[in-house]
Amino acid sequence: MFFYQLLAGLSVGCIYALVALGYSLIFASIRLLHFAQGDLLMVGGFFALSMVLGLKLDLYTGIIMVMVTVGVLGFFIERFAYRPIPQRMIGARIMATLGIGLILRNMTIIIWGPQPRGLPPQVFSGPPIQLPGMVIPPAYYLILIISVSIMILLTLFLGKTKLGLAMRTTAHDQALAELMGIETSRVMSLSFMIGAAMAGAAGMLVAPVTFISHGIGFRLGIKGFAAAVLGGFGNIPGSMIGGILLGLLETIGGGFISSGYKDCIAFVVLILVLVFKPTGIFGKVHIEKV
Amino acid sequence: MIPIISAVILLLFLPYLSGGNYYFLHVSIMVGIFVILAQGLNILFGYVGQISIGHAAFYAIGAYASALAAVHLSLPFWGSALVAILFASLVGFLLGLTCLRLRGEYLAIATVAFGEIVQVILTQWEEVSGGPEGFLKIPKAHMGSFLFDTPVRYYYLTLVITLFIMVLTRNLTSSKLGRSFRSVKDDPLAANIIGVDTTKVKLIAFVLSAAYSGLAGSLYAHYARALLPDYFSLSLSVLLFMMVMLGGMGSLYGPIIGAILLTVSFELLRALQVYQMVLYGIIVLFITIFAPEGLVGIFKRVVRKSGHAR
Repeated sequence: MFFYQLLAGLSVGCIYALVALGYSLIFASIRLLHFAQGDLLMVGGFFALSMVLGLKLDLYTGIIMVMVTVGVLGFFIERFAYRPIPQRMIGARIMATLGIGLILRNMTIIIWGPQPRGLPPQVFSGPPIQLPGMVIPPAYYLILIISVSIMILLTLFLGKTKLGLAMRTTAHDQALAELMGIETSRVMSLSFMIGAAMAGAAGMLVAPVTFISHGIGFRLGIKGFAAAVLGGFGNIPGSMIGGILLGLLETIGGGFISSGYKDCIAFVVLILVLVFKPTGIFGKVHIEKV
Repeated sequence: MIPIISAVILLLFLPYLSGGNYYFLHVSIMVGIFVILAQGLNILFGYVGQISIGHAAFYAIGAYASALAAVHLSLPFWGSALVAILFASLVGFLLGLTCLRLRGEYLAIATVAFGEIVQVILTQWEEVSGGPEGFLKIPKAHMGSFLFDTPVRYYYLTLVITLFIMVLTRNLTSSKLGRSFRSVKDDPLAANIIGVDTTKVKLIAFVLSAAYSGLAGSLYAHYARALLPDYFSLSLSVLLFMMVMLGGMGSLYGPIIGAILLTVSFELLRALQVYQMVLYGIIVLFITIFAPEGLVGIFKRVVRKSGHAR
């Protein structure tokens, strides 16, 4: 029983980790706290619905297509809604993300209807793993394998390619990157697209496990954010570990308190980390005197 | 001064001008409550620059505290409103104390989490809050033997309190405290150097802001007479945030413009059904992109330009 909880926690944690990665990438590259990240996840879930049920794609081509389409959607959002607002206007930028979230949520109601929809669990096709005394259904290990490979690919892309280097430079110091001949506006666009694609991937993985409805975005979004903060904002391996840690904390810690309060765990963790260790559990100590 | 006086006179005769139309009065009362809420958020966010997207929580705390005081202690309206203000301020003080070191986006997200926690508690703590089915049968507001039982009477109660809040805010923000508010927003370091106790100023802003919201909650509780935890959701906090942003943060009249604009446009767009919210989002986005300083900002720009022309 405990082992199953551990597995469930791990797979939920992987979803949180993907969302957290998106937040971190976007925050690091364009200094935007992207409140519509959860809504992009939800849109990804609905895209997945159309890809798998409508176009009859399998899991792997489906997830690639969802990541591409949500990424393209992200491109337009960043270009036309976020870029026109100067970076120092934090309030107006947050507001723009809230407006985008409102539009995305209600567009999905218009297109896919207000009822929660789900993908059949058979999307995760594969042999169940037989272990002594238990059977692991394919959904658990496939979510784990897919999300971990996405994260590894992302890490390799950021660490080993020239474009990845340009992205990291831009995130570190925009003015410096411009002096080095990097076209920062394009790089920032790309970073946002990758961040959006992460949310799309999470949406695809969530769709067969839970129902997708227009309302799931914010809750999953803020949990992903809690995971990002837990692992250290902008820190990519930290986001992964933060997500998995939060998933485990919720499923295992949730057993000890009444289920109604389970959702509070992420929020309490979020506030505690923000207050006591704002750099996250893996963050470097960074003292700023005010 | 003349526009203000004429606006107040107009508001005083509004029930007669509208011919006692119930729906019109309902919208007016809700606008009044939202003006108080938006003004409360404006103090914290507009003047002191501390972003909060969890203000529905203070509103909820005020509403539930007021309802509990009216039911269990059978207090008159001013008594339960006082209880609401005290409770909300206390929670505001505690939240402010917890979040003192957080800035910008980090504070925004911490307040979102705070709002969610309060909503979960309201849903789960059934013995006190009535749980997901709601807190029902809240007594009508009364003072002595006078009962605020008709929409017209409640309209005047709301109007008097809203006007009082406006005068209070005006005096507060043009006092020494108001100047220290702005100094903390513009540059906390510089404020510290010239001798402003930034910690104290932030805490005062949190408490004041929560107190306003608590008062609005009390008004709402005795008007709706039933409270549902779902009402005090994140979307409500977002709506309040939008009111302050769209109206123009850090200005006295911005929250009024924001509250009227969003409440009335929401009602007008209702006929469009599902497309209502999409259009709503697009309007919000457009105003944010083309007037990031809010509608009051546009107004000021126009005035300045015409001034130059002369």
